[in-house]
Amino acid sequence: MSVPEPQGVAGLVTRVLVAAVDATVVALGSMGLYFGLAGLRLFWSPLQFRWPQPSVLVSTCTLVLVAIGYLTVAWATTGRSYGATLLGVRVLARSRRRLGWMRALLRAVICVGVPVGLLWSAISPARRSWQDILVGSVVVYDRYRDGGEHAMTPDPLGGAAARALPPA
Amino acid sequence: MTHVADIAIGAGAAVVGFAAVLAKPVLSSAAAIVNGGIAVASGRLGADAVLALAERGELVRARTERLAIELVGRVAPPLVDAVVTAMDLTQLVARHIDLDRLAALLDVDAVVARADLDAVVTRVDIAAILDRVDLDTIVDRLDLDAVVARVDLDAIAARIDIEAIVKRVDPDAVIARVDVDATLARLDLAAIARQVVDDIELPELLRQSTGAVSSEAVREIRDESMLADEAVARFVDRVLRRRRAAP
Repeated sequence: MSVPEPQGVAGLVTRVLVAAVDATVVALGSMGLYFGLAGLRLFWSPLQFRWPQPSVLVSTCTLVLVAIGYLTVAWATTGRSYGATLLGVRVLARSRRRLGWMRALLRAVICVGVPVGLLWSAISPARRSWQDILVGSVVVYDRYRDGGEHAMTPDPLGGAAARALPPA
Repeated sequence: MTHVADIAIGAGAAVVGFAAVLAKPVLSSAAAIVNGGIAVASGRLGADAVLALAERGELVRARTERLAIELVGRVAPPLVDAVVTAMDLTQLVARHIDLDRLAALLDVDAVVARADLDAVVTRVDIAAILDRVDLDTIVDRLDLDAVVARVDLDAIAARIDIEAIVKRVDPDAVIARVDVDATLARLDLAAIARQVVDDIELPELLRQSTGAVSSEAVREIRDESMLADEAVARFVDRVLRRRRAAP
């Protein structure tokens, strides 16, 4: 079986893998935050030091905030989280521009709050998840290391990437 | 045939014998000789007498030759010695002999062919000759550049059978004579290793190789995920009985 051209909209498997990698990154980042805070506490009052024992609510909120912050910054700046970089995809607006901070934040909130919406990309003919539909974003294959310049350039020949998008 | 010379000598000897035998009565002897001579002259001498004279003559001639040889052997050496001493033979030869012409007549090749050069070389004390040679002076006087300039080194090299020479070399023996430890002790291996690492830019090489490996793995993951995306999309399309848009 030949590998299709690395262009077009990413499908379910790639998105799930990206999400798994990003979840790992968020988990590691949260652990780093925890140990960082513990180190600060140790530095501040070494005699009264004890490991922080946050509640489940605090832990969950921290994880959510870290995930939202991480994804927002990634999508708004480069369109790529670490998972997206590893799998070679990029999150852009449907107009093939940067998503912008507000839409990036909104997409991050929806992704973290309703992750099951990701599955809709398998059913959608245009491979769009709920997040994409609500925010007007698209996840495209992009293996170039050009900061998204290639992915943001309209395809003059009307390639598969452009055809995969439904009419606006 | 009886030699006339022997007969004459015999006759002479008879005369000498006659003179030597002084004790014999002179007259009788003289008469006998006269008679003999007359007989010979008149052809009336007998054949036996002639043979006897010939035998005696031969005997006397042989004795005389012996005496002459002895005389020459005793007298000639001191005489020649005295003559040679008195004369300057070198000047004499130089004055009267054309040495160039003489040398032109010599067949040098034949002389050399007959000479036992091996024996000659064996008898030569080459070490003693070399001791007397001042090689430094000779080398100083040599214009080696001119000599080398006249040598066709390419032709010489072309005539050398290097493969044959190499075949005759025993590498094991050569290596066995090499003091590897001493050689290594003289090497600054650390400096050499540093230079090698600097030259081949090892860190960059490692970085590129590891980068290539990791990029290969990433490319594999991306390809597999794309194929999986396609497979999922086709499956969903079949389940939903949806016809896919032409690519």
